[in-house]
Amino acid sequence: MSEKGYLEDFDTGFYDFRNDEKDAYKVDEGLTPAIVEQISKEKNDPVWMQQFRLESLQIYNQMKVPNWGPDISGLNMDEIVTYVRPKTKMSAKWSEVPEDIKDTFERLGIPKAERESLAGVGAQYDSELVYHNVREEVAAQGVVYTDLESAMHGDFAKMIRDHFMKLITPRDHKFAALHGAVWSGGSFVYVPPGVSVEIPLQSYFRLNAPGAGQFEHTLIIVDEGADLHFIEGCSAPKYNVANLHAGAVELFVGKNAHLRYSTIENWSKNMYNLNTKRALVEEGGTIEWVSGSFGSHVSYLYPMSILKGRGAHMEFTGITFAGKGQNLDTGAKVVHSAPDTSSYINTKSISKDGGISTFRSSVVIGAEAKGSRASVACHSLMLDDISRSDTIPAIDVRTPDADVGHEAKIGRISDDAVFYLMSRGISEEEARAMIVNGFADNVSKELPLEYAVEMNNLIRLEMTGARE
Amino acid sequence: MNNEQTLSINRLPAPTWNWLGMNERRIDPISIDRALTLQPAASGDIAAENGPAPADWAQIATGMGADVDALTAAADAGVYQFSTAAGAEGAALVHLDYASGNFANRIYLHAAENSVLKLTVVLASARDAKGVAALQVKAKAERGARIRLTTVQLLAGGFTCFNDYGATLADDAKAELVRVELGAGHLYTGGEAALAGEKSDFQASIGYLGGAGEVLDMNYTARHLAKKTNSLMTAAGVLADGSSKLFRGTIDFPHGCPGSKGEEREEVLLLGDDLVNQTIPLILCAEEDVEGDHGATIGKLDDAMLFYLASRGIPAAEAERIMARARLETVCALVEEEGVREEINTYLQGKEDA
Repeated sequence: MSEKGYLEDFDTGFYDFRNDEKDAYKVDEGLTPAIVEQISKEKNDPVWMQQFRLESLQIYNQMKVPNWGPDISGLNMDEIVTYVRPKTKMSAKWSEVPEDIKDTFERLGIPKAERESLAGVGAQYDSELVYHNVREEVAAQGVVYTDLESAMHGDFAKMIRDHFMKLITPRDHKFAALHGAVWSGGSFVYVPPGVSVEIPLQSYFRLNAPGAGQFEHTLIIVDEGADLHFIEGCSAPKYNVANLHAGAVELFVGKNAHLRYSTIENWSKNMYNLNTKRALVEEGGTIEWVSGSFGSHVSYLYPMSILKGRGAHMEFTGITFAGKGQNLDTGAKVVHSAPDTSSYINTKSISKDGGISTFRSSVVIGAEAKGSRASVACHSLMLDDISRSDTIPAIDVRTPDADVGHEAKIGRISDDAVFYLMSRGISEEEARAMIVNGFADNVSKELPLEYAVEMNNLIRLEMTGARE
Repeated sequence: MNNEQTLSINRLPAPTWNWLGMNERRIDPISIDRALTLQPAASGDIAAENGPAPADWAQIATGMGADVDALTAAADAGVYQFSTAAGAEGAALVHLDYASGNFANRIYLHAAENSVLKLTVVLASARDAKGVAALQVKAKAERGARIRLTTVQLLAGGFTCFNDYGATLADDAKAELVRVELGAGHLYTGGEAALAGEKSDFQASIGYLGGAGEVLDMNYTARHLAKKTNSLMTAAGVLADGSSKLFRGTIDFPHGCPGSKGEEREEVLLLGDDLVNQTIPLILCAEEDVEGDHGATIGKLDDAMLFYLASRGIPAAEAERIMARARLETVCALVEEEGVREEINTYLQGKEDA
């Protein structure tokens, strides 16, 4: 068989387009109390939120950057603009969104997806939502899907105050504190008891401004017996300065409720993605995470599930593809704190062209979680010998009445499989792309068809530089 | 012989979240009184003598790290060296009987080309003795040589034990490490093999029993530094009521070790309540053409098994004892000296009776 060739880095041009920053309002670079107060004023925060932001800033200044994980010394907060507001207000009609911004989301396929397969869409551009809409029949069920800022001043003000950053507190880590200080945008979803939202809601986050940060906050409450699938997408054009994403996602899954949270992340490769996601699951409830990580220069991303009620369940299905210049540290965390809870983590990671992929996880089963079960499986694929793939799974069990299984494998693409496909007339490049797509099948089969196609396209882009 | 610094031992090769408490173990300063005098029983063609540390002593990394180098050196008693000449084969048995006090010993194993060197060390004490038992063994296997180290730790609960190991292997060399860890109130162990020669091989078999109130902290690493190297690390453990255990196991494939394979397995049987079982198995990989595999199975006795045994008139407590013994037996059976296996049985019987 011929010696394997190496593919050059490519331009993910499909996502790599940008608009001028004309008319956008932005705060100064850096992070000071004055900037935080300015953001708070811009957002018309209630008093408690303004105080919360300033307290978070204090905590941020006290905390250290992680002494584990990828190097983030290239991120200089003094050069990051934490708030950029496009010159438009949020609308429920695409026709009222400025032409250049609307064109951005058209090119990303968001309005089309909304028409064809979504129950509602939120579109954030830099620091603010520019579009938010939910289908009438879904709203008629009592489902609330709106921007967080509006909800904070309306009928759900108390609910938001009771839940906002209660699951992810500013003391969790330095970038959670940063988020608490400068958060802006994001969505609020409330699904009433017993309501099943048949088709997904989606939020899409686009960061256009160079040297900026995006700090959206997503708060979802799925009440008792309700059911929701929420999809999150994100992308940005590539700049030669660092951008930062430090969003937060807080999910409350009620008794016997079900929430699937799917993410296809394709930030540009100058992005520091320091995102935090967490779910609290009550008795009999289920949280399912489906996660595809393709973009970013550096990622720290480990969705966490707290199984609080008896019989609560978590599944995490993820794939990470680290290419040239990327250091993606991803995985999942789960805490079993009630009897008969169960969790299942299944991840795949691919490293190529010098990319670094790290799978990091923790499974904690407390003394009170008798009868619980947990399983962790992580499989890694090395596509060359200049890349890196590490697995760091931690297990902490404090009851004898638990069953925990763990397995990890690391390896390469089988020469035999490539040879077989080539003998059927398929080029080596195509054969390798097909095998990697098959490797990622566990994630794509969990996504709605349109998103599975998109994910497969991303893999094809990474493998061959060609989009179907 | 005073060590006034806090010890940092068993560092995870790639750290993770600090809140898990798995990145390292910190130990309060320890003063060492002296080394125990070794009186090996040798067989075959093996040389044994005490002397200064060999020239490459410091270059051989161990699982527990440099602070245990310093701790064991504090006895200021030199290094006891066992060696086999090229093509020779020899074995030795060392019985370390600890009285109360703080003791540290260092042992160096050197197997010349195509030789076989086997050493078994038993660490034992009277039931009421207490103190510190620190042992560090470093091994160097030349081309085609085989070194087998077996340590059997049967200390009383009043002991804090440091049991450290490091090996470096040349082409086609093999290191086997068998560890039976049944005693000591605080047990800290580590092992590291540098697979520096092509087709070198490291096999570690670790059996441990965590009794009531006992703390076990372990750190094992296989570093695949050359082509076509192989490692297999297995741990079989039993944790009883009130015990706490952390097992770190790392397979490291740096760039330049194509064709290598590493595997790690841990099976833990949980008995009793109020226990802490932590496991963190790592694979670090910067090479494409390797196969790394690790797995862990953690749980209690299967209900169906308990039911079956109950139907045969065996009560649950006895069933647990039988299954715990069976779990440990997978490693104890690897101890080659029959007399030492009998010691293990006697020790286990005493522990069960207590």
